Amino acid sequence: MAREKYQTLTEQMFYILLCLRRPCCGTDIMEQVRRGTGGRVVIGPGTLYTLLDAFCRDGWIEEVRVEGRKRTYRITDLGQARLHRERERLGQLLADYAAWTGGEDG
Amino acid sequence: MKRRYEWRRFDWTEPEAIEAHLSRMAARGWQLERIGSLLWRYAAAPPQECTYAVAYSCGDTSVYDGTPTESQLEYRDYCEAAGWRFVAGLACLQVFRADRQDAAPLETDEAVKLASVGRTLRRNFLPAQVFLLAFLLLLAALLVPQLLCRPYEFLRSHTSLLLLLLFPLMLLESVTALLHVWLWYWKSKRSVAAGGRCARLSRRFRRGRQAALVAALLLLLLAMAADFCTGDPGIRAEIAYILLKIVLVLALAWELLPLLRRLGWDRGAVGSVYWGAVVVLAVVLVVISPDTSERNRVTRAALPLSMEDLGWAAEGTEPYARLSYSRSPLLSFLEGLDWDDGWLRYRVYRSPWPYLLSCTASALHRGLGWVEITGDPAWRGGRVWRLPGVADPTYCAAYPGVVLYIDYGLPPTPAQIGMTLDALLP
Repeated sequence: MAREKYQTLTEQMFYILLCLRRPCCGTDIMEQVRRGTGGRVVIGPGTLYTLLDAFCRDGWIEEVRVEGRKRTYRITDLGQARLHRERERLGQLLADYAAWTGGEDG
Repeated sequence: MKRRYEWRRFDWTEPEAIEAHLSRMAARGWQLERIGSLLWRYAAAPPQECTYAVAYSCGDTSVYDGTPTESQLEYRDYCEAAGWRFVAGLACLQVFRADRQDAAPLETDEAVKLASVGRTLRRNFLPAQVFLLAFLLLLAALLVPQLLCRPYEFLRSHTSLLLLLLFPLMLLESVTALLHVWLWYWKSKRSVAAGGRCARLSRRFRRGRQAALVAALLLLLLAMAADFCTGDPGIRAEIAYILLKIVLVLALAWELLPLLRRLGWDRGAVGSVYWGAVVVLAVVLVVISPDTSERNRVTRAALPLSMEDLGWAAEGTEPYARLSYSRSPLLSFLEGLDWDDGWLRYRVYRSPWPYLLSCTASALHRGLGWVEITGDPAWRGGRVWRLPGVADPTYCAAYPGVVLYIDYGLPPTPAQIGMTLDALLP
């Protein structure tokens, strides 16, 4: 699924790419995201499957190991660049917020 | 084990409705067991509260594949890890039941969900629906000219009349089904782009469509029963043949594909055998149409008008006589044939609708250079046309409420025409 046209990543896309900085399989990703966000972000299995498939097709991630039906993925340079761009965008948002509000909200 | 079957009542665009329905069934003690193209099978179980989820995972799936594909198994693994147990599936459609209370929803991103359902629609729903629409339009292109040329063929029995009504209804159903899906996709796209959820369309519209189709089918069955009760043996045989065709087509649609899938062949073999069977059956049903006219054979005495009545019967020959009749609210029809050395053949159309009779008469004497001979006193004031240049005099005569089409084997005298009118006019 080409999200490029949206220019932004959803939270779920963001956390999937973040998890895949180290090789891991789909079921691990679900658990890692749930634990890592304290249950705030949950990735459904259907959504995860579709996004992994789309990221693979777009070259954002790659398969590094296949054991039976268990596939292990890792982020590619292209995916890493996309993740980095998203981090910069989010950072820019925070910076803009601070600049515009003068840090009034803490 | 106690089982029950249910007609598939859902569209691709309403997974939530499917999930709610399956939960209700489970609460009533029926757990989904198998999904067929048209029938869903449930097994009796203690009533319990269950949460179901419907997923559309296409990947490399095919309706011709009996065994789940690698990608489907992988998908199920993900679902199992998240607390969902696979229950049943058919091609892209997969149904899961929650094993845990805290199971996360299958889809947590509406844009991903929309893309997934959209892909399923493009791969499964649209090709079949567009093919059906194209087929119906092709039939319309063939049917409309025939209807204009020979309206009486379509109006003269309950069955043919209702088939004529059913056809535009099917066309309308096909178009509205496409529009319904397009509307759902368009609304969902707008909603998801604005950060909302996929659209939920009112089910009233689809229920209305389904109710109209079911009503039309019931009416068709009633029409067949009405025609069956007219007592014409030829029509009875034709109706029996139509019902046999329907049963064969339904049996093929319901049973052959699941049967082939269970054999465990690869999808290419299953698809080839299935479509081979469809083509063979279609050819058999179209080409091999039994001649039911023999069933209308009667004795000469049973004819309202025979060659004997006109003084033309040959001595010592075995006459061949046939009589058939049918009726609809618009038009009734009677056809007689008497044949030994010569022949006498006639058709009588009656209707309370003058316009229909006028159309029928026009269609009967259209082309071939029919000549109007209205005014001949033998025909008692009717509008009459004669087909010139043929050895057997053929006439078409229109009277209030009746149209006659008569093919005399020999030139009739005015007295014989009078006898004809006495016998065939009301």
